[in-house]
Amino acid sequence: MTGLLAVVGALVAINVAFAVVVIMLRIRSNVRARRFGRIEARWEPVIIGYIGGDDEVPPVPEKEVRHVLEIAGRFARRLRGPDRERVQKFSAPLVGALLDGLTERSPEKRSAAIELLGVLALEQHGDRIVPILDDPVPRVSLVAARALSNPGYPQYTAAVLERMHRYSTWSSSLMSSMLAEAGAGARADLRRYLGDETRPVFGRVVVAGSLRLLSDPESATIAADALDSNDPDLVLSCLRLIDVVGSQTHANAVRPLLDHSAFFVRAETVTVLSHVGAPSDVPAIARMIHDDSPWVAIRCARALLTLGQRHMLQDLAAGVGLAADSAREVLHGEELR
Amino acid sequence: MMAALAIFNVFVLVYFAVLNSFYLVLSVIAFRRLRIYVRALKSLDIDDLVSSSGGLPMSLLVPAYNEAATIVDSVRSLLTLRYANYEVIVINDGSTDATLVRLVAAFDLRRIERVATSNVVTQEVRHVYQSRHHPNLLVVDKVNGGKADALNAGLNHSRGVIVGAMDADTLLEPDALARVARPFLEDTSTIAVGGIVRIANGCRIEAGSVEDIRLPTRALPRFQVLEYLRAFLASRVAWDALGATLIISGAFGAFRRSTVEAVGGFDTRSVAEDMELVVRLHRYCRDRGIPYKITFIPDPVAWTEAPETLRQLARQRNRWQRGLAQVIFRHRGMIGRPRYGLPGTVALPYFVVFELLGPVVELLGWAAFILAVALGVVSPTHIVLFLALAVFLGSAFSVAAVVLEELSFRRYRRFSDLALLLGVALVESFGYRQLTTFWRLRGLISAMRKDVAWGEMERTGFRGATS
Repeated sequence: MTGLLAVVGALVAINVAFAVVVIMLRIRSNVRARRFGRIEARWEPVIIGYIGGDDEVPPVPEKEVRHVLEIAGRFARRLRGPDRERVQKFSAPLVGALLDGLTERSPEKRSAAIELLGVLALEQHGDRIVPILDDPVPRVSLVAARALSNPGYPQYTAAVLERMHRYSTWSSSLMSSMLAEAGAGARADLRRYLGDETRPVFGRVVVAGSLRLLSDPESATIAADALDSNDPDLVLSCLRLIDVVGSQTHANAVRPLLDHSAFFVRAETVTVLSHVGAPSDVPAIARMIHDDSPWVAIRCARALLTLGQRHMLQDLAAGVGLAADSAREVLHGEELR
Repeated sequence: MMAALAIFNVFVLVYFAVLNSFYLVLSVIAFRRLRIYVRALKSLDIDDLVSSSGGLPMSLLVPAYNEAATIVDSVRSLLTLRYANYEVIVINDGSTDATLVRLVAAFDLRRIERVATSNVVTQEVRHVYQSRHHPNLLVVDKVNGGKADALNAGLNHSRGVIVGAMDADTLLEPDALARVARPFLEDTSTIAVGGIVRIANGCRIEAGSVEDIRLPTRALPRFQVLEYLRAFLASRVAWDALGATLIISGAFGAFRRSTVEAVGGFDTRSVAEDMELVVRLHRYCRDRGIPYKITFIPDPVAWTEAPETLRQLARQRNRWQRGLAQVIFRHRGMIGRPRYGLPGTVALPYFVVFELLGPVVELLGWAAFILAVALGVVSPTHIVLFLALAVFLGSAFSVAAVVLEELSFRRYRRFSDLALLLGVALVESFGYRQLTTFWRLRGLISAMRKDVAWGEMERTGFRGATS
């Protein structure tokens, strides 16, 4: 009986304690939100004024520095060019406060400091971020890589590329987009990496994607050379690159891939040939519309339309089966456009 | 007789001690996990992710059956989501009301030809439509075949790398797609991601968007708010931390299309096609040694309309329990087998012992307790203490879920709502829990009779939703 009473008493105490915790948490978060709101109301106009050319900045109280940097970071992420540079200049005297964050025990706190430094002070402290690419926590390393890939800092691309093996679980398209952010200045490093067969395949897949986003014409031949790879993902990525920057000179390397075992490679090959191929490729593409894969068939129908083969598509559309369905989809889509 | 009663009462006590220990462990795991997760979210620029050209194309599948009241608002809201590359595919599953007519009129739909890119068998698709104003809106009109069949038809006509599955009466927050896509970007072995489902009753909703978050004014949906907090913030977060997520809510989840296609799509024989698919994905990947990740994250938010009447709620809980029974029976071969890892050795046994059989033990426990009282085996003081134990134990886990909410997302901004939630935690043990237990027991009995009906929910429409 006493034991039961004690258990019930303990449970009541736990309930009350939890309820008190809820209320305390709410009070704390309200106080914090109000404080941050006040800081925001005071400093947002100052930052906007600074971006507009007003160099008069009142001194930032030490306990408000972190908040002010977060507000500045929010602006910097959404701005480009001279406006972003103004925000960075505004933050320059304050960003030293973020450096301690780089050695925080918590990976999340390290990440937050890196992210903010990357957007506000890469010019000043980029070299402090480079070693963090080797952080034991892969996520922190990736945040550092993202920070170092901010627009206008291609000098860090090589350092990021050296660590590509660390990011192999990440989506290659996201990585490509990240590396391309660094801008045209990174093209030479990316090209070298793509052409280097000793590099990890994942990295080469990513780099081909970045070069495509950067529309780098000089990489087309390197991509064509990589088409004999055994890795279908690398072949696909190189095909997409050739599709954007390639020319008829690369078509010979592309054609054999119509017989590739991976349907997504065959589908991409058809599209690429419709752009860089010759009129003599029409029969091969027309043959491919009878491929088992609907993805290939649809791409073939689109390719035939691109190559001016409307009549052929109309004939196909009159029939039944996947080829006919694909032809009808493309023709119908064209009519409605 | 007396001895048997005493033994049974001890069994019930042990059962609940183990169950509550489980809850306690899950709550502690969820607490740790949520703290880290919320901190990590702060270092993530979701807008950066949204605008990134590296985002994966997504197809959002929206099965609709007699959803004329809400469908236009829901679709309008889906078309305003912040995601770079997505299509919305509404599957009109043979509605007998004006669902299709309203869609055609509201979005200026026209018939198109669309090749099916996978070949999961479904009921006949009559036509595919596309909006003139929103080219990323498609409507697949088909013969009625149930939710899973509709999802499969949508899957066949989708072109995204990721397919999102949701209910037509669900509203997604603007960044929900970007958030649910993140795990797929962070780890290419991710094949399924679940988001949190919250209750929209009582919230102010304008143009398909939740503008003001409030607790429902009616008791029944209020209880469900608390239930959802417990289920998502405590239970699912913890199971995810253990790598044993078995449920991704049908209200909102995202899947790697190629894997769903490989396992044959959604199971049309199941009334819990969401859980069934997840368990089947575990099984498929583990049988073949494919590295995979199935995860739950609490920041992509879907708002749903909760049942407001006892009849609707009874049907829903009945269906959930039948679905659970079906899934467990179908995948019983996974239970306790080490090759299926924690999903097979811990999560599934937990679901069998505590979720499936829980209502049986609980109601028998109450019956035995009442019998013991009637026979005078227990004193009035014992009765009060046992009741107090049941009430405060239940409320402790509910209040803990409110702590988790307050530590992480704090969606209910009004202090009055927070106080009300704490109050609900205390009173839900008086009647509501017993009712849901009873409905679950009926669901279990229906499952044994192999009843596969879904049950309908009458939609009131989100516009001006108050309850």
